[in-house]
Amino acid sequence: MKFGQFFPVFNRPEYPKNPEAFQSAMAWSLIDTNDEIKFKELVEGFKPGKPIGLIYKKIHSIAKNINLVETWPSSTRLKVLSKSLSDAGIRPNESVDMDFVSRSLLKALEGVKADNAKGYAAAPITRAAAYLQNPVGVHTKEGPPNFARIIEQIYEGGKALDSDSMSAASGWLAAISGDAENQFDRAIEAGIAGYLAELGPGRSLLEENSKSPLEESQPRWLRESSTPLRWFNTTWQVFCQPEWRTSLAGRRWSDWASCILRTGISMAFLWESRFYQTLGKLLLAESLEPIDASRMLLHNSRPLLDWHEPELAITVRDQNSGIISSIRDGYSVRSFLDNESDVLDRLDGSLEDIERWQSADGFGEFISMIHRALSESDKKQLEGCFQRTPGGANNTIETVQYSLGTRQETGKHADFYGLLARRSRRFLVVQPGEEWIVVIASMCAKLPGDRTVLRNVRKSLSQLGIGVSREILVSELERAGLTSSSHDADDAIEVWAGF
Amino acid sequence: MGADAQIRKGRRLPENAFISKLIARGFGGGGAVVVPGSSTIDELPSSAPPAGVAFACDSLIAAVKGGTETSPNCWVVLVGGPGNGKSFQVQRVIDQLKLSSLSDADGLALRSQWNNLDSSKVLIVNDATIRAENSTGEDVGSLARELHTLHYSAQHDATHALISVNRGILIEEQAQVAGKDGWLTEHQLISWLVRQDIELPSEWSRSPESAYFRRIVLPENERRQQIEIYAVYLDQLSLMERQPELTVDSIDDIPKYRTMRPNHPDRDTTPVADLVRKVTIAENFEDQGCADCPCQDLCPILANVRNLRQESVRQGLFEFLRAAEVVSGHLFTYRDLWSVLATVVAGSSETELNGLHKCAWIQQQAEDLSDSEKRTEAAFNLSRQRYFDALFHEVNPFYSREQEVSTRDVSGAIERIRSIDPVIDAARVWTEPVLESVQAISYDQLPLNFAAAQIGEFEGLVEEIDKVVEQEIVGQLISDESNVDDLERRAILRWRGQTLFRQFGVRKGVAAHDEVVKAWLILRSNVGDTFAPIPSDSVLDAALRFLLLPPASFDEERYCLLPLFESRVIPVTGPQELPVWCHGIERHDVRWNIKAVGDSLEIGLFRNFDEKIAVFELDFNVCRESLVCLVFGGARTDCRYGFTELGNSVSPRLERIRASFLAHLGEQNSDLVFIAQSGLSTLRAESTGNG
Repeated sequence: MKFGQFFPVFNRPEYPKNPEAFQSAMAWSLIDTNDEIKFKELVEGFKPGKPIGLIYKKIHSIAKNINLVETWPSSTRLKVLSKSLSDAGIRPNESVDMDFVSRSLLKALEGVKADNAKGYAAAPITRAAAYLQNPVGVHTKEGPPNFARIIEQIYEGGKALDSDSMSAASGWLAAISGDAENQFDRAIEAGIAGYLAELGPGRSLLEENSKSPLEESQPRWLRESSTPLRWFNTTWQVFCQPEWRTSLAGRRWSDWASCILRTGISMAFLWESRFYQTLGKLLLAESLEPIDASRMLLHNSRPLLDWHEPELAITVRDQNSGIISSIRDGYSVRSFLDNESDVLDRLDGSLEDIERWQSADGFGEFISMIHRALSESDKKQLEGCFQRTPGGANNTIETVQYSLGTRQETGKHADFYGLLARRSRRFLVVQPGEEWIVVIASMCAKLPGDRTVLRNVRKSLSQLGIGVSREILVSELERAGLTSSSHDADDAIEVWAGF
Repeated sequence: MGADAQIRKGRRLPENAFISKLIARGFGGGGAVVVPGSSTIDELPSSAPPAGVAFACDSLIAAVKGGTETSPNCWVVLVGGPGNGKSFQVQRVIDQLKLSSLSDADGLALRSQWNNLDSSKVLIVNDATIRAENSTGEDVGSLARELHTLHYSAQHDATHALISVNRGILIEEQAQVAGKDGWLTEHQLISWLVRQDIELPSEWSRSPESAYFRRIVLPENERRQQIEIYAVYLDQLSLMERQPELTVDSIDDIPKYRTMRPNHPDRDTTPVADLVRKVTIAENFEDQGCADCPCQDLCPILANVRNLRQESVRQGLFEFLRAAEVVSGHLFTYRDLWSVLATVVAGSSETELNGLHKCAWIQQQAEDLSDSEKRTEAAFNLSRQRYFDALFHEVNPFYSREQEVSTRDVSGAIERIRSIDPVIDAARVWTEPVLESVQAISYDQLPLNFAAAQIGEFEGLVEEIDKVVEQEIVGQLISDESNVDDLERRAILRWRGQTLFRQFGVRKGVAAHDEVVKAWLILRSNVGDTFAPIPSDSVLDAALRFLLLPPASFDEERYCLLPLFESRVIPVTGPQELPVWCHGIERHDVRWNIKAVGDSLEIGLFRNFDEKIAVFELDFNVCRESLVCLVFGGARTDCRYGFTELGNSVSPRLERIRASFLAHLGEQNSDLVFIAQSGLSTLRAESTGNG
């Protein structure tokens, strides 16, 4: 038996320095990556054999193993952008220099500033702006994590069996490429695309979307379960409807997209870790009935994160220790099953059996079978998984911590879409940014101008793995102006979409 | 023989059974929630039902009673939140038509019940939050299935229905049934009930349409009979306002809901006024033994009742309660009103009765007034039961610092009233008479005596119990024998000041934030139910414009600049260090229209004739922020934005409204983009043919 036949497979993540990186990764996954090499003329001291990394605006210039290109123009290249914008139809009045206009646009596109980031990413307010950085540039690394693929893997894992939805990247492309309603948006898109074409490829990257979206597959039981992956899949489909693109201004649409991506990805990895952590403990139990395995793994209602009222002690509210232990344990158990143990190889079954074990109905039976197949030495090795810190786990821990974390709480680069707030080096508490709940509730309402009820918002949060009391949630929704609660309307309180 | 003597002699004093029922209904327990079959329904007075309910239910009753097999079908749907009186109305119809009870053999509530009568079938559905078991295998809600069955039944038999449903449930039902094959009619009906704009079959006749009452007539079916469906929204109109009276004659020209301006003399002619009058009649008190009670002069409940029998006192109370609705944005439901009524008549729900009947507890306190050790506390306990004090937080001047005031839960309605405690806003002109009264202590006069003699609003308000309390507590401040220290003296003065503010405020109908409440009430009374310009005499007009779309600078009032690429759409005002791409909104091109929706107000922002940019509720919070804005902005200081304690709750909404402008950058606005630095510059986007 192969690990991937029965267990979800996600590429390993690394801390994404900029929330905008997710959309850029999807954008680049849709075009021929050879285009990136065409920016080589811009590299000073080009290192042959090393990849081209695009970053919007450098903070640190050190990039040993890559050829780093800043797409923020130097003074000479500013003219290129100005000309491109002008060609696209942007016309300042006579007293204003076009370069001045270009500079102000560049400043406006700056994304969220993250701790330890090597640079700023551009906010992908249009598709072309998403190409102002690429994964190599954002991570300043020769082999960056493949977030485009991770997103598709998570998206696929949450896809209902009867769903025929397109890939996550295709949905994004369809939404962001929808006809801009006004000439201004069209001109900015064309202006940035023209600028990028002049810098490197010599033609617009927007014309290059011949590449098929990445295809992934995940076990059937996963697609039958209510998990954060399902939340991401359904929420992303809702968000990529054209109505949201037309109801939100470009920057906000982009911010909301990043919010859903960073929330979905992080919670999916947290869920994966908890899954393997639980699985490891079940396999170490003296006995394991299929029904118990199924209940604990597929129907575990224990939240991944707890959203407590701010009055409680910080030690009670802290989620950091739980995040770290789940990911460390989960990572170890996953490695044990995938790489270190041959227990799966020792299992056998007919095609019919395999099909049943892959489904939610038979998965408990499969886990129970693994339990029986474990030797004493396997168990000893598995026990060791709970006492070590595997090397790769830190990357996942950082991914979860930083993707969910609020980058800056105030100021021009304030992050309104984080879920966790850092309180000292040790503690991370659930304290959503001001707009986070607006995004979550609006997606529950499905369409702009629509409404939902509190019950659905609670269900959505529960699926995402966030435990929160009714009182805290109502208070947060009221603060955001999305509901006006009725004192005793239980969960039938109306909740409006943010737009 | 005095009360204490009677108690010492072991004589049992009267315990008013009406007060027990009132407390049970108002403060929880079995009587707080009405379900069909509730015994309290018949035992407590009731007022006229919310607008449209009587008409719709009478139509149903007439259709059932007078109908034949070929009669039209009549379906009535009562929509509202918990406590709006839906179940009460359902029970009345069940009683009048002598239908089967909506409870099973064990007394548990049933969701629905079919009644097969001689000439028709009647379905009663109560409290749609109780889900019916789904035996059809269809993934749709209970209500959709019931409508489906009703529709089918109406093809063959005269089929009538009375359905009460929570608004939130309707939204869930609508989402569940949307797009399901074979459920189009149910989806259309539920969407109509939930007021979603979807296309309905043209042969469905829709008239009348109002916030509180709607009717739709489905065309003749196979039995050649129509289905007439009434939807009555019980949560749309304030019970503190006069309810429109619907009649057969008026159905085609439905009476408008008109709200009253502040201090309107007809405030005593509303459903709540009717209820208060019915509750405070002598049959419920003096005739229930209170007339023979030796404690009657010291009884705060009887004092409350005597006060509330005065029209002017009721007027003040109703003005005050209406202010609570405006400030909280929540209309009082009947359940809310019962908790308020129980409080203003029977005193605070936070009082620890130690298992005694309220009458017995009052008798015990009255007895304690003769005990030198206990009398001060007893006086305070009794004063807490007075209607103007029971509504608010306890301020006990005799608690030591270690002791805590009551932490018992109060109802949501009382919590909302506490948010407009007159004490919160006692730094204004209206408070001067009260301050003078408190000042009277300097001249060895008791403040209440001074107030009763000097302030008209106190006339007829001061009862014997108030005088006893005043003498017992405040008298310590002017008594030569008193040994209160400075700390106690300040505590007593604070308590006296606060209770007088409350007494005066509730009597006059003056709540905290009085100006804002009045501005809202005046505006609401002038607004119709279709979008029209904000009345020019409203102070809120200019205030709202300042708050939502402030001018770029005082030199440039023509434009409001909204940054195009910021995560937050906070208007750009004044010079900027770095250039900012903005959408320049010509402030005078934006039409500010207003309309009433039920009791609430909605502002619609329009541009370019009928391009709707945003619609938002003009609630108290927005009004308050706006008026602060007007005060400062109008005074031409640097303070351009309203900033009150409500800022945090209002800002996100305002920000999203402004953001709506950016999502509506149409073709014609493409030359209205500015870069704001030291000045404004235009920037256009022209079509190049290939962009």
